[in-house]
Amino acid sequence: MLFNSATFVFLHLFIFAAYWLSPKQSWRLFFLAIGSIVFYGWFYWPGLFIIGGSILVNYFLAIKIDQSRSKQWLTIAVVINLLVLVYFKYVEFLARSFLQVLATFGLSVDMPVPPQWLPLGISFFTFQIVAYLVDVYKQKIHAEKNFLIFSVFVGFYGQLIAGPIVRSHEFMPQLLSKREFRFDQLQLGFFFFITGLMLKVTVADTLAQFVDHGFDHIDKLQTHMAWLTIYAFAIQILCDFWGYSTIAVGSALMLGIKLPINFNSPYSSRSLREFWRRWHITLSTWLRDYLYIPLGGNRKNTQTNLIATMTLGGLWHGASWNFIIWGLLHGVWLATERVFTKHQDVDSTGTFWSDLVKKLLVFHGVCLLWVFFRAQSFSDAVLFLRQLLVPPYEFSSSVPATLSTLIIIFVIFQKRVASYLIDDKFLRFSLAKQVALSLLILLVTLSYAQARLDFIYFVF
Amino acid sequence: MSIQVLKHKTIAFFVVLAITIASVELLTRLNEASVFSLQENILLKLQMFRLQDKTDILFIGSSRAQDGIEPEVIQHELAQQHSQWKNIKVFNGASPGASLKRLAYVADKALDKPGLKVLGIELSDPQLVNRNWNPSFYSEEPATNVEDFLQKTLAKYSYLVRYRKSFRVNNLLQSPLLIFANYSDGTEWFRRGLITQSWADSETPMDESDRRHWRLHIVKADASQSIGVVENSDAQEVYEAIAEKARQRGVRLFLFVPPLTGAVMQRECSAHHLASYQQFVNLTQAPLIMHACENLRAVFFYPRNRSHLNKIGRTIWSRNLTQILAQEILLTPVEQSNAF
Repeated sequence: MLFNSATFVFLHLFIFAAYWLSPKQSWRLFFLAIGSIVFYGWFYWPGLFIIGGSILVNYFLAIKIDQSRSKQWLTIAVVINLLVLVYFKYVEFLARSFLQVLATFGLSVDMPVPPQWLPLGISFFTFQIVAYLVDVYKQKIHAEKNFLIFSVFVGFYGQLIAGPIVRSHEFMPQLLSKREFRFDQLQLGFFFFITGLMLKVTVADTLAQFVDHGFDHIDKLQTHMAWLTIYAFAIQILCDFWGYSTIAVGSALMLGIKLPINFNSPYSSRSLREFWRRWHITLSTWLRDYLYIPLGGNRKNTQTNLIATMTLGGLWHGASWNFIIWGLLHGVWLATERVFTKHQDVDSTGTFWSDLVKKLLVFHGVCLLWVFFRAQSFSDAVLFLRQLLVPPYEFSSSVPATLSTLIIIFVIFQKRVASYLIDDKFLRFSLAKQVALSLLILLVTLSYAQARLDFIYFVF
Repeated sequence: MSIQVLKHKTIAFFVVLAITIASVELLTRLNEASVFSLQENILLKLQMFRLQDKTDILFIGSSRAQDGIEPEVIQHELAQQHSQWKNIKVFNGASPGASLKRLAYVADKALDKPGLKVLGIELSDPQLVNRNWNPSFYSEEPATNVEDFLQKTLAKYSYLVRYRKSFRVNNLLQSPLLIFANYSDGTEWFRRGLITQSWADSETPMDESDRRHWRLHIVKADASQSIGVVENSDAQEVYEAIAEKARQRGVRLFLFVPPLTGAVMQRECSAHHLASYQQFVNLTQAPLIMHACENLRAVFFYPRNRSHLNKIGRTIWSRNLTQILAQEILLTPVEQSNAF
């Protein structure tokens, strides 16, 4: 089931009503669990066995880790989770890469390549579970004995398939006691919900048509259209994921549950380090806490740790060399930046112009790296970069009005929209402004509905 | 802020928002045709025509006719010819993407408007061959899954959902065309700004050969010329139905083929095409005005293809068309027709 579908809206309305009308917390958890099962199983019901099995196994493993405080049990639990992830997400990629390596030496093996079926959101719930297991081992939190609470923690439909990745110590306490209905949370949640829909349906889906066309006809792209295509993709992927996260935050807030925000104007960053503090915040902090710091963090081999963390972060996004290269280049850039700005405060501001130049440089650097993220193959990525950077430059074809208009509107309004989605600013507006803004968002979203249905991050 | 205040603010927000949405829904219902027309050029033109206080002569056709007919020139020429024709209002209802189905729809709706006196319908390949028909967003096909069912159910009860595409930015930007429809003659505003009568007179590089090539001729119904071209039976049915309805409504009907040149002209002036044109004329009993199938110079056409007149060609064709229109149609008495 997709967030931008009428089915989800009706499901959420049903769960919302049932949740708040339930007199007991256990009933509420039951309805959340039912909602999550319907939501997840709607897309492809056999996937329920994977996530169900994962919940069941990890429920007992966490209790065992909590009781034994044994590193061995933690290792076993983490390995099991990673093996499941590797099996479903990377086996085909590994097998093909292995065969290619053999082929370069003139060897061939008759090895069956397993068909790839990727359970929705497996990367998200695996990371969430691994963090929980580590937190239990480190005694930051006790293993949850209530199976229903643990099930909702892993499978809550609001953030199940594309994040944000929630931490157990932030999320589980909200499930323990009966939440009090709050009108302001309902209103704010509703606003987040419709704004997220607008980002996805209006901006991301509309731009997707131009991006798909551009990347399907790389050899025919003129210089300015290549740049516009990659700008469009930069905006598309942000609004796609930002939109999903915002819908998740909004729908949870309507149920009185607070989820962390995932984006904070990342394209306004003055360094790549700042970018990663603003982009996919819950993944960045996960990578920092559960990969970068255990590898040694800032204490030793900082540059190597950064490169390794980002490369694995790239691989998390998908089983392809392009994602690995994308992560690796981000890691190299971060490591280089760290060498030159070791003692600088990332939050310190300079003059307007120096900040603007830095923002433009970082944005364009990020755009160039997005090419590896979006291109179907390494050769496509190289060809696209050639169209962007290598002469002769051609500028004769006309620019589609919708494309240029959306990019300009995004540049003008993205920071303002982001400011509405950081805290409860919306609640402080006058009634007239609240209504006008909501009506505008609803009409714009409704008018662009059904352009395209999938979310980019579903495949991760 | 106290909980009580927050509660009241939230309730007020949802109530006012619901009332506002209901108001937009009501406005959409009250102006259904106008809202719907924002999605489609051809429907927009039709709605602009419907919203006009008075239209005497209407042209319907493809982008060839849209580029080829200049209502202001026709009005000017008619006013010069007859004192009674000074207030004749001409509207160019042609639009790109024309097709037979669209023609059938638009002509049928246009003929419902009282007061129309003359209807000119383009007879050319884009009109006859193109099978486009757009309004697929609200099909009558049964729902195939729950999502489909929910969307169709919502669209069934909410006009806001049904006509949601009209609220897209690029569609909404066209709403002034409907608000000020009465001041429009169907010509795109930028073309109106660019073309003037004096400009066309002074700049038209007409020589004697051009004048000969620009001759128009009229094809009239002639049973002896019935060759029996049997293809395009759908088109024949559509044109026949339009002619019948026009007769019932007292609207004088004529057909026209905008000028062409080069290979397009060669194709559409072939013996087969000419025989087919005669058949349409015989079926509808409506005269056909077309140019003499001689090669016009490229200077009168847009360079991209040779089937769309530019501002010079459009002015000449509109002026020539008016001559025949006046002589053969407006001055020819017909029983039970709407009088000027």
